[in-house]
Amino acid sequence: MYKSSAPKRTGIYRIKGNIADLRLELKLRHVSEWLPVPKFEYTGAKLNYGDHYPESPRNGGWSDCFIYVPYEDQYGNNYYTYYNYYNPGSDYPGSSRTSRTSRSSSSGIVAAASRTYPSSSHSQLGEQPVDAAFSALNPELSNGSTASLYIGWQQKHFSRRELERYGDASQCKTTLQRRYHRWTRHIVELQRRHRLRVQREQAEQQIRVRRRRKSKRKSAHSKTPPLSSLAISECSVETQPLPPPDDPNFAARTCLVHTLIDADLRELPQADWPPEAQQLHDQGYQLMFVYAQLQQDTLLLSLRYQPAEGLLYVYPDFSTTADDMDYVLQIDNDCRQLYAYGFHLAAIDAGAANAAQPADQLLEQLPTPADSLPGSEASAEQLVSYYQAKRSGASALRRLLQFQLPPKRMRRVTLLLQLHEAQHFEYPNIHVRYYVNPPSHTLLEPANPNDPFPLRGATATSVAGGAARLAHFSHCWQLTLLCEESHEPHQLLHIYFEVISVDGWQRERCEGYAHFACSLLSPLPAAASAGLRLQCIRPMGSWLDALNRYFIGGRSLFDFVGYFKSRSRDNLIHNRLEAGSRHIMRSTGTLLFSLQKLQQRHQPLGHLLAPEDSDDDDSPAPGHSDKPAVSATLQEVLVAYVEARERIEALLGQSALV
Amino acid sequence: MAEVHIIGQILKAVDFDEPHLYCKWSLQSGNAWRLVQGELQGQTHVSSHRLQNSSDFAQPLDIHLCTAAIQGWPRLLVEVYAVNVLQQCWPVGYGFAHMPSTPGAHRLEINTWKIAPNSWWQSIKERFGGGGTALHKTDLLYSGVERYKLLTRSSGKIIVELSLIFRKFEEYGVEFK
Repeated sequence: MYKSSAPKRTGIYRIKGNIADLRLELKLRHVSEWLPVPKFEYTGAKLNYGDHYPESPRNGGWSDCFIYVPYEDQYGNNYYTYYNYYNPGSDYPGSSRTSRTSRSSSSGIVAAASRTYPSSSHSQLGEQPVDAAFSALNPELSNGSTASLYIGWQQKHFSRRELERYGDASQCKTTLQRRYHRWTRHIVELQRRHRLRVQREQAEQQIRVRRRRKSKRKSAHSKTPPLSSLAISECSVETQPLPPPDDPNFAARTCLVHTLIDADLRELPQADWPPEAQQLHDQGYQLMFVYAQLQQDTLLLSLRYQPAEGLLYVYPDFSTTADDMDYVLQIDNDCRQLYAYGFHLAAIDAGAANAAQPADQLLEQLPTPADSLPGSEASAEQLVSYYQAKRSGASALRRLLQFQLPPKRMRRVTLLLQLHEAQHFEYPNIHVRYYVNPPSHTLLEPANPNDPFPLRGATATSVAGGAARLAHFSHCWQLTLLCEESHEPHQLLHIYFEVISVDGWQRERCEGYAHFACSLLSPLPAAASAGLRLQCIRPMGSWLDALNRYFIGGRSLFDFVGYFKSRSRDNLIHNRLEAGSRHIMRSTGTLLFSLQKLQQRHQPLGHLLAPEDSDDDDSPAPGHSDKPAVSATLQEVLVAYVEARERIEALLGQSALV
Repeated sequence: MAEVHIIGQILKAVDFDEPHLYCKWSLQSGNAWRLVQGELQGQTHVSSHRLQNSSDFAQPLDIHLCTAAIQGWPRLLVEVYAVNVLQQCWPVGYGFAHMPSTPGAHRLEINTWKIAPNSWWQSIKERFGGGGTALHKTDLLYSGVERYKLLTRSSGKIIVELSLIFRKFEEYGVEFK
């Protein structure tokens, strides 16, 4: 589904205001859960593996079946791990539990830095698998909700472990710990209220179920009461537990996202500091790390601020908007979990701390590139900030919009048409009028909604051109059509051209007609893009028509559309010896016409959830496959199944009516 | 978003009546298109050829565009101007061409036209005094319902060589047929 994460680069920004006003919006959501694809290796029913592996505490009769899972460590060495298929919770080194922490992400989608201090909630849930325990703690995230959180500079967000630790006042000795103890009360209160709310809703649900059963019993013994006499709540059939109540701010309550700030680092032993934090701290940087407490503690972003230079370093860089969720996390546990997250600068100005600002205004607050290159006397910082701003501006432009896809089961066809030139007509001062006749089961997407006649037009008049002298038109226009599913490829798009000359006395004369037809879905001939020379014809008419044309001018009423249609439909042969004078045609000049075609089909399932790809990084992540078919989630398959069933039912219903 | 790199040059102008020419060019596209890097418009130097009826420009083009839709495919507008000894300049050719919709090397020949003089006095002035008719509003070049009322006169050609690189179109189901 997520083919790759956006490339992670360090963004460098110059902070003009107060750094304490920095505020970013972070969004995180669960994307999918993939079951591992195991390779079974039968090692023999009575194999004694005690020589190679320590004794398992629960050696059962089924412990001889293993799942063979190859993996690659951070140095590129290939290893494999045996998972006991029937006893995944066993504690010998090959079991899933112990190998989970030792495995690293082999796909390279993200270098998920993880902290290894255990979660207290995890220990409470004891023997549950990690994924199940995580789902119990974060039902909203597991159900597909997006966690959204605003984080200020050096703002403390607590993890579950810290919540438990600072919740106990007796363990808070320093000033910082006592302050944290005060702050944790708010989260504890939030959690208590949420528990009460859940309990109240569950109690209401039980009452409803009881009423329902009572009413059933009554109806079994007596006459069924009319439906209108029942309360609405009694009519509802509730047999399954209600989902947890909606809480958009669940990330703060569940301690899903937590931060490690400068003040924490001072109290932590240096062994527990993140890598390179010590060195950066010694260099005078103010540090801040944002983690997500997922199946394992995962570093989402790190910020460091150099007060002397006023530069803020963000890794990975800010997104244009947090909704893009450019970055992807992959966590391998019992199942492979994919998460997507994104964050953007919500405010840097104290006066602009309103979180509801549109993205465009916020983007303007980012450092913008100067119009011209910094001069030769520019310092390194100026050069860095200039190119950084230029790069961020370019990447913002590239991620600006989602690509427009045609509606489902439709194809979009864009035609680029061009009339180049015309020559060899009888009279000069010509212009060409064209009429486009799209096939049935197509919809026109007008490029200009104000154009009342998008399917017809005219070129400019070429004075003195078109007869002996070449008439240059260089007239371009575009046409976009949506082909419905019922469109048949043999139905052609027809374009009719009418060449008209206008003399000095404003007399119009028809100089010829031409016709071009092509299939919308089949490939065009190679010559079409280079330029097709269309031979024009016009009715020969009688001698009286010729005299009229010479002296009076005017365009005779000739149904050239019907003429070309009948010719293409009936395959009639028209020649000069034909009795009907209206079918006698003569060749006139030629038109040079070119046509290019672009087609766009709707992408297969799952592609819509793919994020914008990397901006500069063309190389796919190692070990990551580009298979859209694999990326479809179960939910998408179910949706497609329901749609297909509805369509089949509709078709069957129509056929039954017929 | 899909991306298009347009790399090439405006090679020369041929078959113009006037000897000293320069060319203004601009790339026009739909609302879903954005410029990532490069310039969307430019102007060549004044050029003339002593022996042939051509003016060599060799104006490089290097444009990086990104798009969120295939509608509004870019097209190249060229405006050719003539210069006389009095340093007066006037337009002698307008032309359009769609960017090719297939990647690779392409050679475009853009036929140009100019506004025809609508009176005897204007044609005398154009021939001897220098300066032809120019469009007051350039949007008339590519719009207008009754366009046939615009009287033009055929002019020379602009030769453009392009190499196109397309990126990520296949990810959005776009086929170039």
